[in-house]
Amino acid sequence: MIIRKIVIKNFLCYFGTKTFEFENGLNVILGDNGEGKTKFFEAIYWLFNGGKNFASMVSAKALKETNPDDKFDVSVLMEVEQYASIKSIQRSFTVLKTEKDYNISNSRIIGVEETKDGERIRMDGEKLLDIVLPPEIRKYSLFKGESELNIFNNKDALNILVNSFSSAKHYDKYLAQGASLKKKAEAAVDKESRHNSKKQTQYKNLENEIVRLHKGREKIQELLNISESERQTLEMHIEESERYVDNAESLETINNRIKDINSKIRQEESVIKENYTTYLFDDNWILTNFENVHRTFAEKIKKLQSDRRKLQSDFDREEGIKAGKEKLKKEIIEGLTPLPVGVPAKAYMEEMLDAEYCTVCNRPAKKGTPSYNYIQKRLKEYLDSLTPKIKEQQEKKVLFKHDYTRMLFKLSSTHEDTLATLREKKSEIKEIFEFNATRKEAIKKLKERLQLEIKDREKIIGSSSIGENKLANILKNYSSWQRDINSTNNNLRNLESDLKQISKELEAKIKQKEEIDIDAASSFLIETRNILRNIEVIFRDTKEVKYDEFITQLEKKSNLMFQKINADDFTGKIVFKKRNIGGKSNITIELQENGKIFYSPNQSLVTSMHMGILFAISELASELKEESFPMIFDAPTSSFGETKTKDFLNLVYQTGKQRIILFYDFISKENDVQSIKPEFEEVKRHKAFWLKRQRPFDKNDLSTINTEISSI
Amino acid sequence: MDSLFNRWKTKIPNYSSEFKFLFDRLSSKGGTEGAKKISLGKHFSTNYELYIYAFFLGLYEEEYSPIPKDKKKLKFSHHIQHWGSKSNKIGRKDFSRIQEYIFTALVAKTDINLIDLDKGIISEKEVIQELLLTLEAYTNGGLMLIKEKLEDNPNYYLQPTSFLDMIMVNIR
Amino acid sequence: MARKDDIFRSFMEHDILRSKYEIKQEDIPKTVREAEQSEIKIVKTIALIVKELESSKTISDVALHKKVTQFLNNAI
Repeated sequence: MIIRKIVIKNFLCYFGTKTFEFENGLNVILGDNGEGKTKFFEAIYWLFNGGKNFASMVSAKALKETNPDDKFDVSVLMEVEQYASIKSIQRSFTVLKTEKDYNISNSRIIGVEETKDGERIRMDGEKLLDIVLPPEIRKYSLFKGESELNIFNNKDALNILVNSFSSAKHYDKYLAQGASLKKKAEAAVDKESRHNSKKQTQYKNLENEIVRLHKGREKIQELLNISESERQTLEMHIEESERYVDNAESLETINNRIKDINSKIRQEESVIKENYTTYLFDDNWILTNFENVHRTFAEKIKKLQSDRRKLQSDFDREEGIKAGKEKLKKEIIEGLTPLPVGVPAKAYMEEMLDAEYCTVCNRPAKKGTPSYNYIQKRLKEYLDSLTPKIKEQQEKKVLFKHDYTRMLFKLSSTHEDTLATLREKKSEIKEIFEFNATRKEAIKKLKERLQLEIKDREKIIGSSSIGENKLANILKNYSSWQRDINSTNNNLRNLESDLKQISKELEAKIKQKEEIDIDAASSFLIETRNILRNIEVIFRDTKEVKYDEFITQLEKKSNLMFQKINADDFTGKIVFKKRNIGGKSNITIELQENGKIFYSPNQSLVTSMHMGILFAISELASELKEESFPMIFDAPTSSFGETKTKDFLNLVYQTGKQRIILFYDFISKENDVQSIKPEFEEVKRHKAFWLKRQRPFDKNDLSTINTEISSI
Repeated sequence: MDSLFNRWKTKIPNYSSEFKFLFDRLSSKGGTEGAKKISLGKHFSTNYELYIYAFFLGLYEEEYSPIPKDKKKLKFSHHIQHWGSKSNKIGRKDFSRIQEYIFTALVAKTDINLIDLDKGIISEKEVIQELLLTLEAYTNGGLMLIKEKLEDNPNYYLQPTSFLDMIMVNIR
Repeated sequence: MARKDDIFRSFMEHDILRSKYEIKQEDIPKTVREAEQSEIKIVKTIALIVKELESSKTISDVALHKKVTQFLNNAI
């Protein structure tokens, strides 16, 4: 699509009808500040985007020169050539002048298409505008000033670009569907699991734990992102200030030494383990002083043992005596004389009974006689006395009913054995303290060295050649930035290990839960879930691949343009960084030189960068739509300076695409007389215009303002 | 016949409510081990750890101080037999054999007639009761020493060696 | 090549199909139509989803889920 002409009528400083006829290719509009460039741009902006602030658009001069009750139109018209037909779109409204004021009415947008035969067909203006300049293209066709060239300061920029120019846009719905299908399949498994599982409470607990851990992990991830961006900001500051340091190399050497010392310190610190209170228990250090107590115990037990033994044997003896006494008592009570000394033994008595003869009294003792019975009785008594009666045993007394003390004896001897290891504890403790003390000494020395290096570093920064005040500031900030970045790095490390830890816990819980799932839910549900899980991964990864393809393409094209614009200067390149924050993809643009981020480029470099990107987008759009579209810029290269501007314009000229660019360069003023600088002749262009306010005019009276256009 | 030790283990000893604040301040229930804990002054992972510590402190320093009758007695939830068992703590070891040492210390320091126990003149229950009183008395003494230290210097416990130092006065 | 076939094939390039499901390169269908006849469940499921999402009529989440589970139900 090519813009053939733009007609502005009674719009701000354009009184009456003013026509711009454009060529395909580079069209340059020159105008000093205030002469009407910006108003031209605003007219186009209104045409493209609409706007109802009509009162602010009316030409003051037109208003003045119209009589009350008369009306006039305010309009902006664009005529384009697209696909061999001419189309025009006009936005306008009518102004009716009254005595003191004016009324606005009839705001409209009219579209007209002229066929090859010359037939003019009216169309819906908005629809025609969309055909002539599709909305996604329109976004990238109009740029006011240098500051608006940065399209990536908008978080949604990437998504807008992808949606307009990349096939990656088709993959969003797969992502959504994949996630939703997976979610449903997982819910089905969970539901059945929960219902069937014998371990219902455990399952519920696991589910809750998993949710909690997920949330915890998200929080940590958020904190990580924040810390990371803090770190980058600090790095940027540090880099900026290091530019003022003359002796950059020495600084780098010192910084490396400082880094090395810090890591040595960290290493030493990491081996020091001072969980002394825990060692009291886990390594039994608390028993180091126990020996005396054990002595007391062992002695007590020893005495207990001997007392016990003594008591027991006294008791046994007494019991023995008692038993003897008892027996004696019993025999006396029962009137039985014990066998006197010399009484024949059992064998003799049996012999006597057999022989029926008493050898003691030396007379016969026939069976049935008293003598015989007497011997028999004594023999019986004798035999009885030998076998203890059960009844007596039951009445036998016991001294110690329990034996609690046996265990105490055992304890005493076991602990006696372990006393040796207790004694070793003392040397163990001593060793650990010595170890820690040595490490601490090492750390102290390292920290002393560190201080010296830091002092040296400050000297180097101090000896740089910039003004004293600025230097003092930088020095002050530099040290604190270095400290801050250290603590931020520590923070990052801690967060990363926390993240690892919580991810591990989460994985473990999920694994536990899935073990129950496999038990409790039907295999069909589980297989479905697994398939849908994999499908979600495939959809997600493929979308990322497509996004990355687009970004790579964009980056390549941008750098091609960028290098042309910057032909003699900067040797770096534009890098597109993709970041996923909370599920949304975001793009930031960096300038890199030799693989390192180039912080704080000057405005000229920034503008070149943005221009490179914009031209790259324009190329992508052309490829996609198989049609090219014009771009309109208002003073885009103020920071370039005249020479670079000339080169830039030549570059644009060579692309051959229609670009309408407004400049205030190339105009010189002498005593309010303007003229075009001769350098402008060297600028290759297809068409050039010069905007000038009609003179004389009163800058305080808008009704005297009228911009005239002349071709150059 | 259950051994005296086994029966004793099933009990939970008391501590004086006067020292509840020490348990709250110095022991943390659960959470990870490490330097982070000590910087908050929480040296002990569980309440019974502090209890054990206070007992040994009182024992070595010979601070025998029974809980006064007018003070309310509190107990926590772990029976002695669980003290030091490894459970799920990562990075900790099992120290349940310290229970034996506590027991022998109590037997050594308590005035009980073990002969009478074996004879059956006094009951197992009575003996265990006496042992527990000894346990409570030394612990109470130990807790008092800790409390006094804290009053003299509230930040004393922020160092990693504080409890080690207190109990190892003779060694270091 | 219709867009749905381009999209389908971009999914088939994912490593999971080779590593986890051990599908050989030559067994991967080149069009959605072909894939609908596939014996490999995950391939056919993806073909199903692509066919529905690229058709001119929009399908609701619930309806798509139903179609997918119905197919897997019969296949597993």
